[in-house]
Order: sequence, then C-alpha cells, then structure tokens
Amino acid sequence: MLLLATSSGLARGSEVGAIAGFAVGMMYDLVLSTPLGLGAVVFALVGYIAGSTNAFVHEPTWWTRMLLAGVASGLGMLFMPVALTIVGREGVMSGHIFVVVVVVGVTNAAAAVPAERLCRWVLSESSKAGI
Amino acid sequence: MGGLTRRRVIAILALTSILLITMDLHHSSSVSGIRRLFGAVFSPVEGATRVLTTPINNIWHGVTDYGDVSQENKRLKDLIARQEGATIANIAGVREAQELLALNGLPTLAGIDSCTGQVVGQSPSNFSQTVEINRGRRCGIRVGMPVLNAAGLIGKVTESLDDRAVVMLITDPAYSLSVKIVNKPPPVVTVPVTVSGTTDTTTTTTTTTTTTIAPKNTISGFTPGVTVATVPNTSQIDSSPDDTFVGDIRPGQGNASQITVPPGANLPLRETGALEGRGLSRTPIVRFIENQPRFGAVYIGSPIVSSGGATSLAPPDIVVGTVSRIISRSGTLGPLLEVRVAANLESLNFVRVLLYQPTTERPGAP
Repeated sequence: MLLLATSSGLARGSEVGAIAGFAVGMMYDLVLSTPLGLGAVVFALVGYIAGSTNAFVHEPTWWTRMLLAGVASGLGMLFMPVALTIVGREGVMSGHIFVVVVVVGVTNAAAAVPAERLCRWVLSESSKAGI
Repeated sequence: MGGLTRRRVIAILALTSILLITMDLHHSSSVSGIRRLFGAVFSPVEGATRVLTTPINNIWHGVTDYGDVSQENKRLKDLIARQEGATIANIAGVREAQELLALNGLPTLAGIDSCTGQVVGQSPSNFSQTVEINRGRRCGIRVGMPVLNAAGLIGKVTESLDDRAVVMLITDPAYSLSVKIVNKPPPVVTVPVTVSGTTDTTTTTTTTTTTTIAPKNTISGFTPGVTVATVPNTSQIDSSPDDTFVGDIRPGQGNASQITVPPGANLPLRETGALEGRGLSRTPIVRFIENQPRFGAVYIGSPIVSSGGATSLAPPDIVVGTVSRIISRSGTLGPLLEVRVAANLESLNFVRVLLYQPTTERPGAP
C-alpha cells in the first residue's frame, strides 16, 4: 500500500502522489481498525514527499528512484506510529519501529522500479480517459 | 497558478482527513456504516485474492519450513498422546466445577452460546495485532465479544460484518482486561503453643476436615444449598491421628493450644489486576496488583484467568495464561507481572467467539 503511494508520487509528481496516497490510505483505514483518515493523511504525506523530492533530483535514474522510494516508505512507517500516538493510541512507539522501518524501506526500494512503471502506466491511462 | 492548485489539493486532503479522524474518534455512526459497506463490497475481492495468493504462500512455506513443520508434527503427536489421559480427567473436573457453579447460580461458560470460526487473515498492519475470522453478525457475533481457542483467551471482537469479524489479540496495546491471579496459599507456619505454663514449639500440621451438614448428596463432594465449612484442623504431633474436631474448644482442654483459623484460609488466594497488551513481540503485563500480605508473594507459573463482572469484557474463569516474570516495584504500586499467554497467537486456526456481550459494549451503553 505504501509502495503504491510512493510510486505514484515518483511517477507523476507530488500532487498526484498525495491524492493517490490519500485514496490508498483511506482503503487501508477502511479495512483496518485505525481511525478513518489517519492512514490516508500519512500515505498522502508520503506520496507528496516522494513526488516533491523526485522533482529536485536532476535526471533521476533507477537507483535514485529506489533510494527515494525506500526513504519515503521508511518515513511513512515512522509517521504512522507518531500519528497513532497523537490520536491517543498507546504502546505503538517502541524500538520495534526501527526494525519495521528498515524492512519496509528495503522491501519497497527493491520493488520500486516495477511499481513506479505500473503506476506511470495506470495514471497515464487515467489522465487520457479524463479522470 | 499550478502551485496554488497544488496547495488547495493538499489543504483539502488534510482537512478531509482531520474531519474523518474526528468523526471516527467520536464513534460516528456514518463512519461505521462506511466501514461496513466497504467490508461488504471488498469481501469478494478479498476472497478472490486469498484464493490466488494462498497456493503461492503455501509453496513458499513448503520450501522454507518443511523441516520445521515435520519436526513439529512429530513433537505434537507425542504431546497429544501424553495429554489425552489428562484431558479426560480435566473434562470430568471441569464438568463437575460447572455443575457446582450452576447449582449456586454463578455464571459459567457452559451457559454461554458460542460461534466457532476459522482465522482467514492476519493483520496487514505493523502497528496492530488483529486477525480476521470467517464468521460475523449472521452468527450472532457483535463488537466486544471474547474470543478463545482450545488453549484460552485470544482477544475480543472489534469489528463485525455479515460474514467477517476482526479480532483484536490480547497482545495489542489497545487491549485491556480485568483478570485474577490464582496464587498458592501461604506456607504453614510454626505456632507456639503454651501448655501448663510452659512454652513449647510444636509444628502444626494442617489437614482439612470437611463437615457437611445435610447428608443428601448428589454430586461427589458437594451438597447443594448447604454451607460447607472447611476448617483447617490443627493437631499436635503427639496427639492421636483421629484427634480431629471442628467447632468450639474441646471440653477439658485448655484454650492455649487452640488456634482460630478462618474458614478457607488454605484455599488458593486470588487477586485482581488489569491485563494490558504491549504490542508485537512483547508479552502482556498485569498491573494494579495490590501488595496484600495475605496474598503473599506471587509465584512464577501462577495461573491467570479472567475475573468477570458486570463491566468486564469476558465472563469469569477463562484461562489467559501464567505468570512468566515478576517485576517488583517500590511502595504501594505492587508488582508488575509478565504473562505467558496460554494460546499460541502465532498459529491460530479455529477459534470460538463467546456470544457474551459486556454491558459496556452494548448499544447505548455509557
């Protein structure tokens, strides 16, 4: 889910990344028991960060995209427990978060290139259709 | 212009999120309705995805875990063989205990209907410990109902759809439950006894004499509607073995050698506390145990069961686990107890939802 938000940002910029992240995060909240809208705002932030940092990179290559996807996903995994703590959920801030950050960051970095191509294709089809 | 549009989009997304979070935290019925609708719509997609991904998952586990599974299978077969005898004895004991509770008008698990379901999904989140089962509202499952497997309590229902329910495990940081810790009785102490003006030290042996007032008895060891006085009998070492009595002081003997012990002093002691989950890979803890001298030191391995009560999330005497570690704290805080959960939460399959809805979870509850 986080990879989709990140890849959308990398493929089509910060605005599209934020909207895609919001939609993906909303689905995440609807399936899970997290407060509705919390995952949406975190994923939207991640999509926005991925899109805006990619815009600063001069001639982005495959490995810069992987790096950005990994960093943005890791940040998302840090933002999520912070957001949960802000809305009153206890016990989510622990040392285990850093393990999660590393695992999610590395996994998403590894899958970033095909995911970004997929998102580029999906979002370009959507824009042609006028959505 | 583009920057302005982008800012507007970001602002709209942020405001929408804040609005939704606020509504959800105030338990808005429209948010619950949206969740239910999404669950119903998404359920076929979820089922189809599961059908597609389960073989891949099984292949992966078959390749990586075959050796471990084979060894575990042998170990479990041995374990089953050892436990079969004990199970039969335990079933008889449990049935007898439930009859006793029912005869005394006390709540028992036997009187609560249940719905058995299978775990069909784990939590996709890193920050909550939940599982999904394939039974829901159609089976009578409602939010708040306790869920257990063959070993003991595993959690409570946090979301119930038509044919699906989400169960929060007892390791989730948001889970809390009132529990009892069953401790061993305090050790027998040496009691000084004064006879004829001289002081002697005699070891007191504690035997139990059960006096049943009415002879009518249908259940072994129990007479309904009659007070059962369980009085520890103190007898001196040099006295005859049948020198036991219950009641007042024996005529002709000085009262210096008689010790008044309240009935039930040799029963297992119980103390209540609050069990709280602590998240993934950390054992739950029990807080708020009062440091009562009569309760004595808590022993590692002492069983922990649900305490029940009108506001409790679970009926009484559901096995939760055992004390695995005791963390002493100064002052009147009482110790913290780490709990070894009886159920293996990493390999849940069939679970039973007790159709017991606590008052706090009923619609319209304060």
